[in-house]
Amino acid sequence: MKAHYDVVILGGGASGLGAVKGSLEGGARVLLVERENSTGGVLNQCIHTGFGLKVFKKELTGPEFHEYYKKNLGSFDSLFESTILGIDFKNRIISGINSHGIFEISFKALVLATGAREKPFEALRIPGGRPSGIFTAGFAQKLINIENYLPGKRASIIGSGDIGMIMARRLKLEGIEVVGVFEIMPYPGGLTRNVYQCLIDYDIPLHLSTSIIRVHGKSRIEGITVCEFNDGKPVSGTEKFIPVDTLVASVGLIPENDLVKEDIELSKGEGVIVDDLMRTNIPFVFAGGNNIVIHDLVDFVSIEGEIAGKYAALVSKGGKLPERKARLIKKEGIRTLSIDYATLTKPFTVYLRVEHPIRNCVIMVDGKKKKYIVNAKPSEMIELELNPDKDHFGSIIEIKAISKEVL
Amino acid sequence: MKKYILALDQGTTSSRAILFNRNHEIIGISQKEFNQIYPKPGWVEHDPMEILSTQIEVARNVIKKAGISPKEIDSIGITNQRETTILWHRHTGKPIYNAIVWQCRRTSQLCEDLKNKGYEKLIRNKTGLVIDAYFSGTKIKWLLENVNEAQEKAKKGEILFGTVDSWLLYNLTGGKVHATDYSNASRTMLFNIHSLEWDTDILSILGIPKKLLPTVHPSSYVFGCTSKDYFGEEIPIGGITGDQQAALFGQNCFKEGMAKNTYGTGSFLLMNTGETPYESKHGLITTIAWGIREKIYYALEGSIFITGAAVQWLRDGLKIINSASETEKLAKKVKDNSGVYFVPAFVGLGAPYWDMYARGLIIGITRDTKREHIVRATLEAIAYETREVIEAMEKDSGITLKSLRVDGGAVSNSFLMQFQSDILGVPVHKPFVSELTALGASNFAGLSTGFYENLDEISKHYKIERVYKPKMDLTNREKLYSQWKKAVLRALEWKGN
Repeated sequence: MKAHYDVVILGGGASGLGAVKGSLEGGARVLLVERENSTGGVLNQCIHTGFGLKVFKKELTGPEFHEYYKKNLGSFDSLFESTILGIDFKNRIISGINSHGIFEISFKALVLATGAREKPFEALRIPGGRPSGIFTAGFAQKLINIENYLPGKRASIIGSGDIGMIMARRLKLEGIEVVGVFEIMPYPGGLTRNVYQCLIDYDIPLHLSTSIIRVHGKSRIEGITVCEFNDGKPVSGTEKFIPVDTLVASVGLIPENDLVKEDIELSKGEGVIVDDLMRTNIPFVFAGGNNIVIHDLVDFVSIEGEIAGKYAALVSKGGKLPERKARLIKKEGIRTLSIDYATLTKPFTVYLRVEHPIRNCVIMVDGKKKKYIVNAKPSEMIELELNPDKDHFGSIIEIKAISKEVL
Repeated sequence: MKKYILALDQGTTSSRAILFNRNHEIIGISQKEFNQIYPKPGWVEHDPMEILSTQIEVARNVIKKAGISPKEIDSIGITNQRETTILWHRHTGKPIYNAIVWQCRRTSQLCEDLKNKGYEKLIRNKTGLVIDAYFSGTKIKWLLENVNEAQEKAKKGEILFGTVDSWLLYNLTGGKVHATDYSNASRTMLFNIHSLEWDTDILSILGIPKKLLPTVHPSSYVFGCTSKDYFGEEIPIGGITGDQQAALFGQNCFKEGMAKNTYGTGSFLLMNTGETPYESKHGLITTIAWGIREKIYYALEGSIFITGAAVQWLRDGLKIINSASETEKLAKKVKDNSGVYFVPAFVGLGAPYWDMYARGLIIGITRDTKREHIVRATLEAIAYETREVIEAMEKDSGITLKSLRVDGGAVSNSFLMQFQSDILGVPVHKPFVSELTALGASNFAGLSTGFYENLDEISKHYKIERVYKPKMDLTNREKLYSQWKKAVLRALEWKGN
């Protein structure tokens, strides 16, 4: 099948749907390409609440957020259960395959909304066998919530990121014995609200500064050996064997950019580098969501998608977009910034993470105090709104996060 | 207490009068057909006096039938068959000849001459139209050249020209007002749609004196009042619009990108392109949609010659159905067209192909082909043709269609409506009210007198009866459509000279 669209959006999750909204509002003809058989992405399996607080001013579950969002979109074309085989950036053609055969779609602008994939447990290179019964958290969630399978009977979780904590609660709710959540850092990896609502409220022990040093079992996992860590090094004498038949690993997300890594500028963390228009280094390619930087709140992902879609539509209709004028540089205390460049033509929002927890944290932009956060944590993205009309930015914008006490 | 608006819908085969109340409800309808005169093959005329008398008669009838007093009528809106040309004596009000109808081809040679002289581009640039016998300009020239003393009298200012709306307006106001609206003027081939004036260059090319021409006003405007002779009251005539544009307005297509399709014997598709006229590179016409409140809105228009007529042919020509209403059931009986495609190019193909030599084709027949497949292919063809025109509109304007509003006889066929939505990939909206042309005229009138305060108030009364949403899988849809396009290629350039 051959067809032409103004804007093609890769990925139909929260970011992709946001891009659909932004593009449709911009009057573009849109095609969404998605590998699953429906839109929604990870939203479909996130049956917990916490979605939509910003976008709808309601606390919704993932599927509810998906439905609310889709309800207000107009009609658009989509290809489901489709895999992209390649993107020809020179001729602006995407080719892919699905059960109907090969398709070739030419486009004027492209939005990458491919999200992220989970880091596998094996990436931690923990000694021991490689028995079955080890699942990444998202996959365990899919097994339980979508496929209706229980992963096992007695589980431990490694990694206290949001999804790890949410799965700890989920497993317990399904009658699985949850022995604890192990986190190598001295602080939780996810939102504070999840520490309370998933672990404390459910009597699930959280073991900070503790991690796994050995996996036991040949065909099925039989247990783990954990020990305390100090400064990233195991503390000898603190080893302990815990029998489990299931291990759920929430050890990080990697932006999904395999398709474009040869052509699009990526950051060290493998995220797409974008400017405040969500534009990549290629003027007609835009991106938003987890494939630029790993997010916590779906609402921010939708917003990024909408911006990406809006400017993709503009470009597809022949509009000219302003050039990048400034570079955003992260300085002390900052781990990630969602955007690296700014056109300085309109107010824009940067989502950032601090490097480590900072109490009485002040975000400084070019030496000026911009935002105050009582307890800044790496696990909680911070929204920083900047306005070029008010602040006169030069070609370099330096952002840092320091404690008020140090100032 | 003003409660009603009277719409006068002067059509090609009949004059109609419809009374609306404020909520767009029809209080009464009256219709009367009149004679179609064919002096020669390809020539079509109407008697202007019969146009007038039938229009007055149905107007009086509908008031009587509805049992209302003319005092309760707020205003009159006129909508008309476009391009049909009438010339009359200024002093006596009598026509100098029959009305030359839009379908009449007598000026084809004249048009070829103009094209040979190289005027195509100039006329297209100024008027948005192609040179064709369709439009009033060459019909006026024919009348001036062929009716005794017409040319001299015209130069002296003793002859007036009007499309049907002007003719009705002139008579209804007792000869006081000689005017027309932007939408009708834009169908004469004499009106510059950019400067909004009668174009002196074109007038001199055609040898038409300016004195002939009516004043041009916005579509929503109080043109004048009826003389008491007609209805006993002086009722303001507050709206005048060509019929297709009136239907576009009746369908509430107020903003750019909104489009309507009228499914009749043929189909007329119009897309509102906002305040920008787009020149068509794909065989469409640029026309003025309407003038309202100091703004001019433009439209792209595409006509498909044969749509409902193909269904009629199944009934009257091929005789495989007894009535058009059977087609829905028959089409639904089979799960798809089974590879059968019907290109109903009975009189050649209009937009976007413009091949006068194309002829009808049914292709893909096998031993398993049944009556139901042919019926289905006929209905599907209507949907495919519509998509082709819409794609041409989108390419010309850069505007993406978000939904299609529909009216006309075939909209009661839910198979066709759903298939149309599937093939377009956008929702199809079918409104409650079916008399959209008359409703459009009525709404223009209501706006000019203040009966309706603004478009928002009018929109409140526009109710959709049914929305057909696209359900077909994208790959399947594109497969069907590309097969259709292949079938069309086989039908092109068939008839020799």
